[in-house]
Amino acid sequence: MSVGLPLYLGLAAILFVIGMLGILLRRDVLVLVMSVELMWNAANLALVATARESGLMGGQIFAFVVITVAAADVAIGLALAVLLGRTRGTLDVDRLHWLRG
Amino acid sequence: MGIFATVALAAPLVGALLLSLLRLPRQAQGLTGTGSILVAFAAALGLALTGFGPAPGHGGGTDLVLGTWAVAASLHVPLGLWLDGLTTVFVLVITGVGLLIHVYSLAYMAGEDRADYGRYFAGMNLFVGAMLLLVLADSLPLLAVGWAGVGLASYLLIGFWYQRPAAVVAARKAFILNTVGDVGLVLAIAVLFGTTGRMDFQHLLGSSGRQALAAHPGAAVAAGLLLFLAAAAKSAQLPLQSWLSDAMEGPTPVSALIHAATMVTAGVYLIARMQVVFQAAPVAAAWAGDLGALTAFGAATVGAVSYDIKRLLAYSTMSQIGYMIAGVSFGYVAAGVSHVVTHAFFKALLFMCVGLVMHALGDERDMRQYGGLARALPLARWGFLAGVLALSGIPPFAGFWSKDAILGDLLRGGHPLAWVLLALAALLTPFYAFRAYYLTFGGERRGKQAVHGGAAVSLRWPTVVLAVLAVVGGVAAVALQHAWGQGLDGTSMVLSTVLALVGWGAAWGLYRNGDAAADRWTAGVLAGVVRAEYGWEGFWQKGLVNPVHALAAGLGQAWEGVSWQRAQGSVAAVATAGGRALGLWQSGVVRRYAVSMSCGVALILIWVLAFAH
Amino acid sequence: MLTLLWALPGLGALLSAAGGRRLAWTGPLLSALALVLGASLWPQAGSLLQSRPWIGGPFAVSYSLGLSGLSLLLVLLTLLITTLTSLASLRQGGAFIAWMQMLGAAATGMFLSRGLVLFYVFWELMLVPAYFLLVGWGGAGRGPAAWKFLLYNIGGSVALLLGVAALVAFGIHMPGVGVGAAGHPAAVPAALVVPVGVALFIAFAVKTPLWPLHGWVADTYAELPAPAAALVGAIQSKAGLYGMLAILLPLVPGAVTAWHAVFVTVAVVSLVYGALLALGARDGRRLVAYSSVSHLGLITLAFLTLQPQAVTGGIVQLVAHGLFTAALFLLLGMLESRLGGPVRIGEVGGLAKAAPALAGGLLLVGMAALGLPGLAGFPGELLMLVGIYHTSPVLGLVGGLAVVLAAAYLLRLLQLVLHGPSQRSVADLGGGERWLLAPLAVLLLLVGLWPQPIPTQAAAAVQAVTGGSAQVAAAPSSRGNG
Repeated sequence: MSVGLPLYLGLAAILFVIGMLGILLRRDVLVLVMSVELMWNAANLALVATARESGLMGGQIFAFVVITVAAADVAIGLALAVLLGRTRGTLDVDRLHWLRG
Repeated sequence: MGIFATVALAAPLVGALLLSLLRLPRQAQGLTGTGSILVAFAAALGLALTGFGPAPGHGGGTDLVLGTWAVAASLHVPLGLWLDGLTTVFVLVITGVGLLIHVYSLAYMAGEDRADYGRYFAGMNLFVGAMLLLVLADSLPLLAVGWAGVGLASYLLIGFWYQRPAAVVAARKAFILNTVGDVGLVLAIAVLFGTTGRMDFQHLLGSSGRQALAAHPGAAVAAGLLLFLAAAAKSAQLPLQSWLSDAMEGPTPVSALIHAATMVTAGVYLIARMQVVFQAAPVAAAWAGDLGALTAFGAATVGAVSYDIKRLLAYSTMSQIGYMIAGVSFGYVAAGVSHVVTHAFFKALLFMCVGLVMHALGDERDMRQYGGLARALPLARWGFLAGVLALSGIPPFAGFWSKDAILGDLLRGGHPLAWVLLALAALLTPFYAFRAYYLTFGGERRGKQAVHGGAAVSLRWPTVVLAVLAVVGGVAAVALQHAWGQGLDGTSMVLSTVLALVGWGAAWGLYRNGDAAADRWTAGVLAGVVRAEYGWEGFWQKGLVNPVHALAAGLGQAWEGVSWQRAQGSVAAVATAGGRALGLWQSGVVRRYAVSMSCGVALILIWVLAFAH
Repeated sequence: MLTLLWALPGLGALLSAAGGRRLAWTGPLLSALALVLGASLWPQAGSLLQSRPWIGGPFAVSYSLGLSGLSLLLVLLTLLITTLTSLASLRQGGAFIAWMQMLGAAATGMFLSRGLVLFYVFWELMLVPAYFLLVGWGGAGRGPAAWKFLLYNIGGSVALLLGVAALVAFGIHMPGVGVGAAGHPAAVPAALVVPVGVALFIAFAVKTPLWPLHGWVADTYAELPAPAAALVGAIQSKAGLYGMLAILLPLVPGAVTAWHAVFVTVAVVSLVYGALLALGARDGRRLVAYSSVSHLGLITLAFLTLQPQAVTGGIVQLVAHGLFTAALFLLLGMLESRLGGPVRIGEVGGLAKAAPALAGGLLLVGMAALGLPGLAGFPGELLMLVGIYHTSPVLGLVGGLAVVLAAAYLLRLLQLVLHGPSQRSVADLGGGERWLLAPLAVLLLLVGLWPQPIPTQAAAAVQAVTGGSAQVAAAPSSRGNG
């Protein structure tokens, strides 16, 4: 039984919105990183689904690129979170605003 | 012929270069400075003997092209020498009289220290060299090089005693008024180039230039007036005359050089050289000639009431140059140029004699302090008398033959205004000349200074030579006039003689005892106004110089310094405030950035979905 | 080969930056080497062109250098001034020399570049060293001066970027004057001609500088150390006028025609306003700065006439102005180091007695600057006035007025500093200083007495800018003969 493209895209959209809401509403850096991951994967899902539907390989290949970049993103993001926790003593992004212009 | 001209031109310039770059001992300085002029004079004699050159005014002449000065599209300016009769006459006068003045300077300037002595001779050599370049140039731009070189040299020499504020001011005034003339010359070049497409004499003076100017009479008038402006600056004519009387701040031999051999005669040369323009533009010729005549008369009146003997001679020069300008402007080149020659003789002589007097009296220049010097200074006395007789136009002395030629030509040529002014000047000339002579040498000593008689050999001989020339130099004038196709006119000669004798008679009647009391009339109000050049100077100072300086200072301090700074400041303030306002957005709070981004993405999405089809 | 011309001084910059004081001498040495190389290319000017791909893609940009006669003149001027001013500032240390060399390298690259993008890159590169020289070594008022310099010049750069981007977008990659120039204007849409032209004019007017965009010039020249002021004053102003000649006039002639009255007004006001400010200036540096505004306004006016003699004269004057401005600033600097402060007019005087060589040098350079015939300032001035008068007698008279005012303010400077009763004693020029100024003095004389090599090299550029109007200029003579 095959599930239609609209459902895949709908799921991707729901995941993306969850990730976005996480970024907008939560203040913990770790949760932000997780939300970003969620958005990455929403995009991935859309890419793979459309690739499958159209039969072109580009989307699948791009999905691999995204997975790689996302992995790097997580690695750097977590490292930053650890450092922030160590040096600033907090992971609350609302208090990490020393880049104010 | 070419080699002589080149050597004559090169020698003084090389001399100036050596004197300004090398640290020569004093004797070598004098030797180099004078020797270079001697070489130039010898070369000038060679030039005259190997080929005097045709009379000017017919476009004949040899163009000795040495190279190319500049080519810009259709404009071609050669670098070369132009040889004709006019050039030869000027080269002879410049080097000959220049040599005598250099010899005179050897002793006159002996009081200066070594560095200044060298600087003096370097300036004098530059002066002579630049003047030679001016008269030898074969194109107007090259003439302008010499023209400005003369201005520079005069600036350096008038301001020779640069620690005296008066000398500095006089030098600057001379230079700036001359720059006005330079600009006139450059613009005249522009007009002539626009009309004829050329700047070199070969074409400009030839038939092609003549035809082009005849076809464009308006341009010819403009060129003529601009040329006259240039000539007026250099030759101290109205309206740019006022630098010459102040230029007396320089050493006396410098005055002799400026007045006799170089500088002031440059304007006469320019008008004589550019006859082609003035023939095509009778209006410009009339303005130039009448203004020259007016200068001749006006300067004579100022000379008649002067106390300072050097200023008196300066006004006398202005007056005599006015004769020449009037002559050559109306096309009487032979008469005008012959007056250049005789004037060089007697004016150099007069300055040398005044130099002797000043040396003897510790640089006193006020004639009211003179008197009774005839016995103490016989050489100066007899020399001055010869000069005065020549200046006054008493026959058979030198000045008579040339001055009378100008007057006769103007009378026959039908230029009544100029003739009347010049005739009145001819009446005044012997009056002021003999007034100076009687007040200086006649009567009893009035001043308190001790008189140091006796003069060095190098002061004596040039004076003697020039005195002889002032007596017999008329031969040269008549020969020149004859060569250039002009005869003598009996009626005019009688008239001129009468005018001169009347003027002399008036001076003799008043001053023959050398009594200062006879001079009381010059203390009157009217005479004072005349002595102040009719308020001309104050008019320029108040009407032009002061407002320009005030404007410049105001612009610099009030506008550029304050208002403009404020305007700039307000622009900067707006930019800073804008930056601050935008900076508020950069809160540093990540979640606000996320909101901004989300809103932006949403807006783009709406735009894509709704409008982009 | 052509790359070496800017790479040698660039290498000098790197070496002196890295090696500090010990390697500072490499800067002037390498730029002197580049100068010799450039001089050896004199006969080949107009035929050298090198090009290779640089940035690919739809708007392909190539790295192209070309040596036209005009480029050669300006490159030689730049390298000469760079060498001399670096020599004059050896004591300042490596970093200073490095910035000076970088400025020279950037200017050289800019005069050589045969691509608009490359031109822009070098143009921007010139800004950096000038700013750091000002901030790092400037006088007491360097802070505000640096801000003004930066704001004006970055504003100009934005205008230039817009203009260049528009030209490149419409398929014009090369300056319109020089080796391989197309010889026809850019195919810019009619609606954009004026905006592009005005943007370019603003950019070049800031750099030159012309009124009313001259606000930075006096402070910058007054605060920079003298050798740096000499370099910036002699070279950077040439960048603006070169841009006008090579980009604005040939590529967007439509804008020049449409806005001719405005551009001419700017030039005329610069000329008179600068002269008046110079007449009222109170210290030597500012006087020279404002006199530059006046001089460069006259050159702009000459270029705008598009008349062959005027354009030729303008190019001759570019070279002459570079020479005498550099010499004036160097001399003022030497004077300042003796006085221990700025040369305030009226507060010093009578220096001619104590320092005859210094006085002679100042006199020579000042006379050249006021356009005394026989010195470098005259041939260009004559040709410009002749050409300007040819197109408009009134403008010719205004030009003449500026010349008279120039005599007035330069004499004021010379006399008040050198003449009059001497107020204090100063040491005369030393041997090193004499040798430093000697090349400039010789060139000032040479250009004045025999200017012909410059018009010869500039002929192609004049032809390219004025196009067919060479025949127009020749017309009066045939009319006169007919």
